[in-house]
Amino acid sequence: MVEPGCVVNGAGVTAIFLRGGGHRWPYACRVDGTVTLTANDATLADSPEAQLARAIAAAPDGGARDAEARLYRLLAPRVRRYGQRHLRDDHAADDLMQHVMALAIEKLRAGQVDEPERIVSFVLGTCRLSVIDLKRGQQRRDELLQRHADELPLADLHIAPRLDHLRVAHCLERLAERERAVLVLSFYDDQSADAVGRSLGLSAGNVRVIRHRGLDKLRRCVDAGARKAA
Amino acid sequence: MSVNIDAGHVERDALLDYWLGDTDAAATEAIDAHLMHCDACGARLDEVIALARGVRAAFDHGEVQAIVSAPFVERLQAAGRQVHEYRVPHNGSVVCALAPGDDQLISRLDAPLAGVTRVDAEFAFSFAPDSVERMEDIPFDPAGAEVLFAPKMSFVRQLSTHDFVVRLLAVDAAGERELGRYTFHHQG
Repeated sequence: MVEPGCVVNGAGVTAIFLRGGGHRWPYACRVDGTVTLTANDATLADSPEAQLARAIAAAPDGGARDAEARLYRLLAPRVRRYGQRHLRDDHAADDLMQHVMALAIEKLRAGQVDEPERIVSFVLGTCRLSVIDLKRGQQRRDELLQRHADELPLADLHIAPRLDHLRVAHCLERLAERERAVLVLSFYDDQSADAVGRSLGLSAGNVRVIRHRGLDKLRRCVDAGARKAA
Repeated sequence: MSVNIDAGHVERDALLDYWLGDTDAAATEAIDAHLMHCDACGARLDEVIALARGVRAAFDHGEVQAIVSAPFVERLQAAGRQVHEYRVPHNGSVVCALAPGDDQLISRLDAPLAGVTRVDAEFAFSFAPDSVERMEDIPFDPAGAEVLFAPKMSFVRQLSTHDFVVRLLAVDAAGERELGRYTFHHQG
């Protein structure tokens, strides 16, 4: 039996974990470090993802195209974010999204997902394994894409917005020098606080404080500019 | 810092840590799992990603000036950017120009930084003798012996021949003193 718990890591970030391995998300960490339930199994089973997965699994092979398209629109952006974070490349993230969603829908159609209402966990697990595979340069992804690329609905996906770089530049100019330097060094190629701190003679903790403050100011400035433009 | 996963959502600074690889394996996995369920936090992460990309795009388009570091310059070069560096000795000068294909100029200013707690930089252009631009409290490595400055390339590209003087100033409770003076004879 796995048990949920909370842990504060070296960077001061508290994380939920399950003793015994694996992850499930009806839990969150409270400020005092204890675990709280955020959703019960019934809630998860009634989620739109679970309902769509059950509909796909219950239909004759490929007979629930509308449910497949809706499930794709729900989960594909999340898979893409996972890919952006772990692969650091938008094209690779797009490939991951296609691959994972193709596999998930294939398995649901074939009745090979034991608990369709746990489809989100299945997708997350597939993301993790696929990223490991992609980093090893395996070819299964290409085979799957060739088989299913034409069938996957690509429209209506929510993709992260792109900001006007001139507006961002204008807002960067208004930051303190340390904030601007830390944001440029952090975001140019996604460097950790430790790496940025080492290069500027700052502690990682100090970089995180400057980075957070600078990003907050930048976000407010960019948002204000966007509202003005609208 | 206290808890970042609470009340069913991940705070923005935790998402920033997550995006930049500052969360450990347990926190990263937990946030991965949460993002697979929570579109509100996904949208927040999208904001962080968009701002990160915006900062990069602004720098790549030459619209940002900043104090940078030697490892950053190496990464620019590794990424295929054509970087033209000018090393200026302490209280020295250099003749400089923008070559065709240069993506970024970097000024490396040799400076005695040991024991210094705060550095300001003043910039003066020969075409605007009454105007001095000041950057306050610039980041620097006290263990190093140089300050690296990346100018705003969109501005540099518009300039004709002129002289450009940078003064580095050590600032403390007793006041300020000149750390070094550097002259660039820019050929437009």
